[in-house]
Amino acid sequence: MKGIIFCLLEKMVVTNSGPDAWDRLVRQTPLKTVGGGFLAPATYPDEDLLALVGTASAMTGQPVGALLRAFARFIFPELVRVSPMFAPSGMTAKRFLMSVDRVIHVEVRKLHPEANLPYFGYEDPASDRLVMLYRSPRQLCDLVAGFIDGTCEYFGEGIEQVHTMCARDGHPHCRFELLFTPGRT
Amino acid sequence: MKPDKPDPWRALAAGPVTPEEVLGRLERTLARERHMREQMEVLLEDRTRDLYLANEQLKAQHERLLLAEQRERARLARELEIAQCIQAAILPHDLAIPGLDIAAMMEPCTEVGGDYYDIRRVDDGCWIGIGDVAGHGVSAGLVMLMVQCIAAALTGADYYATPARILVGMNEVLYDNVHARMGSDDYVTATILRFYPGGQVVFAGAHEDLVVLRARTGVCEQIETHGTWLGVVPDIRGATFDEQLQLEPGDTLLLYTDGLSEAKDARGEQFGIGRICAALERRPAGPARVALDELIASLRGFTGVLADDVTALVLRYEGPKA
Repeated sequence: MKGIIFCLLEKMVVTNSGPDAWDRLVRQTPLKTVGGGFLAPATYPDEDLLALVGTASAMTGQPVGALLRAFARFIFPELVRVSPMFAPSGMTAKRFLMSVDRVIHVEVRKLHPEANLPYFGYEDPASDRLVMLYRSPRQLCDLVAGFIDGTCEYFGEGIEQVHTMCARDGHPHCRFELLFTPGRT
Repeated sequence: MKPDKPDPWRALAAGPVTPEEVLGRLERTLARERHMREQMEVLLEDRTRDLYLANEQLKAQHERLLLAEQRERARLARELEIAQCIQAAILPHDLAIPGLDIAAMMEPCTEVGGDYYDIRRVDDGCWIGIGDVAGHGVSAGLVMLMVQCIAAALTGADYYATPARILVGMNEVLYDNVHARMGSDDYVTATILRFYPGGQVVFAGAHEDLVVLRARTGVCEQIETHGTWLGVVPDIRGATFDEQLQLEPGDTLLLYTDGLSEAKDARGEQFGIGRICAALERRPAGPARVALDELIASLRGFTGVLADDVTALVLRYEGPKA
């Protein structure tokens, strides 16, 4: 996983809970990355992210899924700040989500051919609806749910999302059925 | 975060910390920073290597493109050279016409020119053609080849044809080829002349004025050519007619294209008909080649670089041959 995700996790923890919280989290987590110092352009083991979230879960009593989802909500605007060209003004949450696999991941692969990106499929049943299919060996569907939350918050839209099928239950992919509701501020 | 979704991470916030704990955190942070610096160095080395390899690939690609471009340029140059050779090859080589001493020159300003001249011997005299395709370069050169071929075919096919009839026929084919088939607006100005051994010259077409240096007076005479352009309208019969002039022994007829009369000096002044006549009048007798060389030397002394194709024919009438 790219280091930027770890850096954003550190930023979120430090911003919300202070530098001591991040220090404690790193100190208490058995990491493969020596010292727990992460650089945005480097690549780190997926297990380190899951281990950090697992430790946070143990420390806070919050489920891992809730922590991942909240983390994804936090980092969405941060990622847009880094790559604003993917979210130009006038874009909608639905159009953005549909561009993840067809545009953004195409560009990411050009920069990082080694990146192990998830697959997203789409069904477009109505103008205010979208079905997203998520398939990844990482099975980080809570992260996907948080990204969907973060996308709609960023574009000022409401969202009702139902996770109707999950790969962790043995399905070939996760299925998110989305209903976009009128904008909110 | 929205207030309706409390941040589960906030529970990580620590309570009050002791100075020892702060110190410990600082030490660990410093250790982390050191480790990150080491990672950064490795990353930089990797990135530098990647950039070097990418640069090498780009250089190789650039060299391949450069080579391909050079090959393409060479191919085009060869083709232009061939076109130039063809154009030079179809110029008349045999200028020996009984009763006439002829000298000719054609100098295109690009590899291929749009000027036309030809001399075709017949039993009693010859056909002479001179003309200019609008513009210059390969396109004009191709039209010039058409003009040459059509004129040669028509003059060879009909012994009794007159210059006007030849021009009408040339126009029909040129209009069809250039205007109708190629969809081009190119046009041609040309004069066709029929020389007879007695010094009679019948001519038709619209091109530069004919210049005749009269041996008797040593002064040039300008003869306008009335007619119309070729390739613009399908039928030019109403605007094309034969005229004639009479050459006396020792008279010199000069035919030229506008690259000669409109050549400019550094101030933008044209060489002009005055200088043409003056150059000709300096050589009222002697071989036609000498008169032509005098004219061209005068032109080169006047202008630096030719901006247009230049063609000139000097025909000195020697009188009827037995």
